[in-house]
Amino acid sequence: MAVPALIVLAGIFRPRFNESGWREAIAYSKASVLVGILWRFPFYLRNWLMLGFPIYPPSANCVEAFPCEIPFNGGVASFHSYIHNRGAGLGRGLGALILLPFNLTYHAANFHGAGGIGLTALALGPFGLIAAWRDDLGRSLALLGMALTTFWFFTQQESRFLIPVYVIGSVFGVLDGSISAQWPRGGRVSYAGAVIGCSLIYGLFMIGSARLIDLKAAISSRFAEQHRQVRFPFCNHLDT
Amino acid sequence: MIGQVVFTRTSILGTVVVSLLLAIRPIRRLLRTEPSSWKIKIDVIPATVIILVLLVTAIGGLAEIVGDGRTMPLRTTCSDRRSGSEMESSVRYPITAYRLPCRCRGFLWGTYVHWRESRAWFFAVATLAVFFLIAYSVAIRAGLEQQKAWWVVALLQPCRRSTLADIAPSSDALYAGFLLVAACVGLQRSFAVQAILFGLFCGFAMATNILG
Repeated sequence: MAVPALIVLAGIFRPRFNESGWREAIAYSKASVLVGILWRFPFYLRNWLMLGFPIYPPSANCVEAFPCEIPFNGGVASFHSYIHNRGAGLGRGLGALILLPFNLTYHAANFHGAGGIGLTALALGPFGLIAAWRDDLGRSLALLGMALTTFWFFTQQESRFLIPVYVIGSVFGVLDGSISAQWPRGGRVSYAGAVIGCSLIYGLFMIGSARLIDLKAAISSRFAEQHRQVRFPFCNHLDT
Repeated sequence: MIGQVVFTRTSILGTVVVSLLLAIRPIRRLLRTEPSSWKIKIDVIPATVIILVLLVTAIGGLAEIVGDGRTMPLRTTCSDRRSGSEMESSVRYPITAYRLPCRCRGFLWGTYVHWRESRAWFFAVATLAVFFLIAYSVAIRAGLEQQKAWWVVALLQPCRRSTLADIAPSSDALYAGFLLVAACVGLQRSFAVQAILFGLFCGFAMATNILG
């Protein structure tokens, strides 16, 4: 869903709102789309030829519309159910969409595969957004971020699919906001410092705590073997 | 990248020590020279954070399969083997190989199969470094100075899914990278020559992730 949004945005920001501009935008977009399709087509064609459908396993509706061979139907149904539950995320509906920035920042652990995003995007991002709105690229990046977040919200709410938005959020977090620049220097520095400090400490704590066992195992092969035996008692049998 | 060739603790630690020893003289020479325009301008805090994350990823990549987050391929193997009567079908239709279009995922599955899993995880260091450079490029393109652009990279650390090694060797980080590069190329006024490049990176992104 991200690439179509990007292509539309790239087309919108190209022309100067006259006929020749639009014609130019459409010509370039056609070239871009053609190259994109040529590159990605083999992967989906392979699935289509081998499995009967480009995106495998197909959804239940697609199975009815495009009959394709499925190895074990129960497995595919349970896979779809799993994906649906996994993508429930922070809820649907307008209220959830409005609260999304807050929930994404403070309640990231509520949905699958999260772990927090830090405070920067929410606390400093709006200032950067206001400052960058006059700039073409800043505005288009902001719109891209919003479009990606909206598509993500209505499709599969998994944190890993929102990585490009996290990068865009960090960019706006670091951009000097025109509003914050008008604050007294001491207040601005302490506010931004507190936000960035909290984010970095949180991030390093999360990374350290999540990889502690791996780090210990890298240093000590004895610990690695002991932990491996505890976690995977039948691992050796599976390897043979 | 050492882990791609010889993957033992001794060889990797030895290579790191030799590299550090060889690097001492050039670094001392660099510090003595006058600052030049090509020198990387980075503050101490982002530099420390970025190096720490890369180090943790690299050292964590040396580990055996012990952590919870690194068991997915193993669990997949277990569930495939437990399927019993469906095993023949799953051999005929290897879902894990054909479900997703990503070429890099195929490469990673190859490393899982032919080498140890930890070696594939060590690949995360390279992926993560490239991803950081892309984030830095986006920040520069957005108009930030060099020093501030590195802060953008450092501030990605709290976004656990984008920095931890549990995501870096998968297709998600590469997908995000391709999309951001496409955005950098596509979202600018002078576009004539870059139309093909823009399409290429859009194609890369869509070939990396179905949801792309």
